[in-house]
Amino acid sequence: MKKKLLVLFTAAFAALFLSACGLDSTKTDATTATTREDGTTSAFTTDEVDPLYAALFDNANYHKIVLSFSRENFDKLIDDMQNYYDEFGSYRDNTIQEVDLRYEDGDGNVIDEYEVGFRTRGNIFTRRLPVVLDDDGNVVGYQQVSFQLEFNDTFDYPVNSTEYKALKERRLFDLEQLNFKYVRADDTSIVTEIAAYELYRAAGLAAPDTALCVVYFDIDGTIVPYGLFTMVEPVDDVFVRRYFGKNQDGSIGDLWKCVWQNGGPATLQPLSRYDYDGINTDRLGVSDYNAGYRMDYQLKTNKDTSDFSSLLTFMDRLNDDDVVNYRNVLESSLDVDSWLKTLAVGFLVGNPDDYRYDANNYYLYFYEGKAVYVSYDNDQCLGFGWNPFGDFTVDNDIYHEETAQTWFSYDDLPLVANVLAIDDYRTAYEDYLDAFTDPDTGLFDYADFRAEFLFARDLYQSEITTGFHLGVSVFSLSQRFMSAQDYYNQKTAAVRASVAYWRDR
Amino acid sequence: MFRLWLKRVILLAFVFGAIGGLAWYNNATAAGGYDSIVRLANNRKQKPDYDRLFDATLFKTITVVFEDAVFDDLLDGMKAYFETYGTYQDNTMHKVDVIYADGEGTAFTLHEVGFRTKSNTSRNLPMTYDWRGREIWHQTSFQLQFNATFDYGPRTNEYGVLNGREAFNLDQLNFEYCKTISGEIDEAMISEAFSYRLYRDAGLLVSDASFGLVYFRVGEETVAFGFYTLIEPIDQNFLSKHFDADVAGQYGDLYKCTDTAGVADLKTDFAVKTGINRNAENVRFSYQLKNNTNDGARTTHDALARLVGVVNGDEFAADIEVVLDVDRFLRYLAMGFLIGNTDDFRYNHNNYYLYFAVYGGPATMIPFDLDSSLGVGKHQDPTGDHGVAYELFPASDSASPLVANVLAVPRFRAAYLDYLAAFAAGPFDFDAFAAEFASARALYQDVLVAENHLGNQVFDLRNAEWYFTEKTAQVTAKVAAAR
Repeated sequence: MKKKLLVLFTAAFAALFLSACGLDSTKTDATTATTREDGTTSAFTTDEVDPLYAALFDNANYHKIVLSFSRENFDKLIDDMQNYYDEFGSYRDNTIQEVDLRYEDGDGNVIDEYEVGFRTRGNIFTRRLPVVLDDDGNVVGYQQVSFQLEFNDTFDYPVNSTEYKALKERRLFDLEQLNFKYVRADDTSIVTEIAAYELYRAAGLAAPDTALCVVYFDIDGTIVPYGLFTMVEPVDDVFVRRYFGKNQDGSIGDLWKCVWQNGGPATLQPLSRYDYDGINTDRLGVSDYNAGYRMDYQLKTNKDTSDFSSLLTFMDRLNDDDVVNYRNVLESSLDVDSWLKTLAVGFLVGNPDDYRYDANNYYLYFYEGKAVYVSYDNDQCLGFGWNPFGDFTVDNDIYHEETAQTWFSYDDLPLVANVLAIDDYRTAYEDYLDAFTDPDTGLFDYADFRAEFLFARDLYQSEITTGFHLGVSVFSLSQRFMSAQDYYNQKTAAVRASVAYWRDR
Repeated sequence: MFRLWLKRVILLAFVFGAIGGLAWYNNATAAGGYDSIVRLANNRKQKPDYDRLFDATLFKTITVVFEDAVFDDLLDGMKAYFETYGTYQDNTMHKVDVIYADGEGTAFTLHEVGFRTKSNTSRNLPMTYDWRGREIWHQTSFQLQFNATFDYGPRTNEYGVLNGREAFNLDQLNFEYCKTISGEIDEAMISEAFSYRLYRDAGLLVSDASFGLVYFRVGEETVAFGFYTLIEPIDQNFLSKHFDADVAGQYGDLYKCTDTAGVADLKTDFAVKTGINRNAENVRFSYQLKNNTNDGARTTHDALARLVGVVNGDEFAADIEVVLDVDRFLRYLAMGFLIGNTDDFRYNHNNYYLYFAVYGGPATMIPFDLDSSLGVGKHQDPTGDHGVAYELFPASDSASPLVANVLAVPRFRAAYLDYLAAFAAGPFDFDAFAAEFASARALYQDVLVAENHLGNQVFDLRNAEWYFTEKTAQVTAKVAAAR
């Protein structure tokens, strides 16, 4: 009994004391962690391919992009472009607007990313308003325009603010930006640009990765089926790190975007040539779109540190072909092999708006001191689009010397004329053309084009047509002015004949 | 017999009456009411809680509970500080409740804990609004202070309880998240905690570290705040655990050394970089005195001056062991070389504490902030290889008189090589890293994904095997060559 009392007393005292102290010594259920099997991943020393990057550029994978604008932002986008037009005569305003992004793909990936930067893209001919206006300025419809998404844009947030840091570090698909080009309505074969880039990549050259997607605009609840777009990996600092890595000192080289702009064609001749407006030095440097003036040679990396000598020196050496050791100079300044390979692929692709035909649309990246050519903007090629030669280039000799326009001649293109004046390089160029068009093993194979097209048709045709999307709605390999199959066949035959001709001489 | 029982009943009634009366008196005289005092106390056994907290094999969560108004104050204070100084380093303490729970079923709540964000580059507003006015949550490093007294007056009961309160045998606890640096994040997640372990295995006195999941509960909203590394602070509690006090119970000077106001390279210009921070004025020093501050009035730094004098003096070899625990410093150099944190003292004159033992004893270097280690993070290796091919005696050592002078002494140099060889063959072991990685992944990954936590959710060993293997091979070969 004594013991019972003692226990009772002690328990009562303890309960009272604990209650008075308000302490909680009870144990409650915590979240139970699930024990998983150990399965460590293998080590690697280089960056692995981000799964989302791979999914994004998998052409057998369906992609859908929904961009949500506020009405206020969409109106501002239009106003900014119109103001730019009023001031400079084109819609090439690059002001960034905020949008929300939803990405969905056939692998089941769904990504919502808020506060992404949006701007329109394109040159003076292709950049246009995303809306159709009547004479009174009222929106009466929508039209496609190419655009860019910037995942790491920081808008007006102050440097070092939380918003700035979070946005600055943001990557999506292992990219900082992503370009969207609308598929031209009359290109019923759909995959022309994709196939062109794939040819460069199949040859082992650095070229943007691409894929199709269907785009919707959501403007505060107004859904615009905006059509079929080609997503194109931007050529920027991320691109050069991905394909070239870093220099030994941890930096990356100068990357130059070379385009026919205000100063003239990007022939790589001395800057004084084709200086239409007589301001010469403004042809090369860091371009500022706010000034309404685009340079022909625009530095895209090392903007704060470069003295521009990479390109200036390269131009000097390229053009000075009177020196006795010109070939040595060339090989110390240019990645000759990749350039010859590029010439061969470019000839097969038949884009009349590239360096060889039009001194336009390419990047030069200086990797360990040597220039590497990167092709871009291939939406008119492979038998489609601009046709200055009348035959989509299929009848051009492999040493064809006519340019697409008469502003300059073949001899004004030192990167072609001077390089192909050297016998060994001509031989290598012919060998590449021969190999690429080999009926059994060549990469220039219509079957690849057709396979890309079939993927696209299966994935998108129904949605595009039933959803009344803007832009291209016919998926057909035969309805183009020149079918892709005809182009591949005729080009192959012509190239092989031309190679044989030159080898026999 | 009856009288005996009657006596017992009277005695019991007296005892219960006394207890009740005492409780009523406490309640009546407490500033905020009886419950507000007793609920502040933490009478849990500290050592077992400490062991649980730093047991890396134990799943744990920490929920930080804010009242809406408190959270708004936190944001407003940080924004105001940013507007004034261009940084969020507002160290104002905010009152929160903290709920701890672990995989053994232990769960308890601590009331009125101090919360502040911490660090410089990894300090963020925990929540912002985007262009459409939506809440966007951001991970940020932060500190919990269990003995914060807020605005309670020194004579209040609350002050008395809080001022002496510990949790997990600590006055404070730091929380670090995995930062994204140049688009790169430590997908292995455990690198910082494992680096602390490596230093401990090498015989250094460093913080204990573990990891857990953090939740913020703001009003009715709970945000899954992600995976955090939990790090023991270097403070008075740490000193008492590792060092002896003088007869009066006082400890020597403790300096936090960073590149805040110029590199902390222990050169002779140290005096202009030394002082007591005044956070409210955004005044910060590279050699920040953390204790014995005389309420901010102290201006002399004799022990530090003596160390700097020897480091830069002519009698370095003869005197350095009097002012510095050289053996621990050599261990630091050796294990630090293997860990490869290029944001440390050796490579960047940054991120270490100096503790000067009482009675003029030697200084001990205590490294901290190890989030750029073991092949990930901010690094200065121009080859991009995270320092795996660094030389054992790189030219960059000449920028630091302490490193250069120590390694110029043959016996120290030999000991450095010995430690390198021993650590490379011992604790610097990929299998140990992989085991801890697997344990952490098993504990946390599913929850991180299922609850869509902030930050990285999926564990990956990234380049860790390569880093350990290549670094070990390089060190082994270079030590053999150097010998």
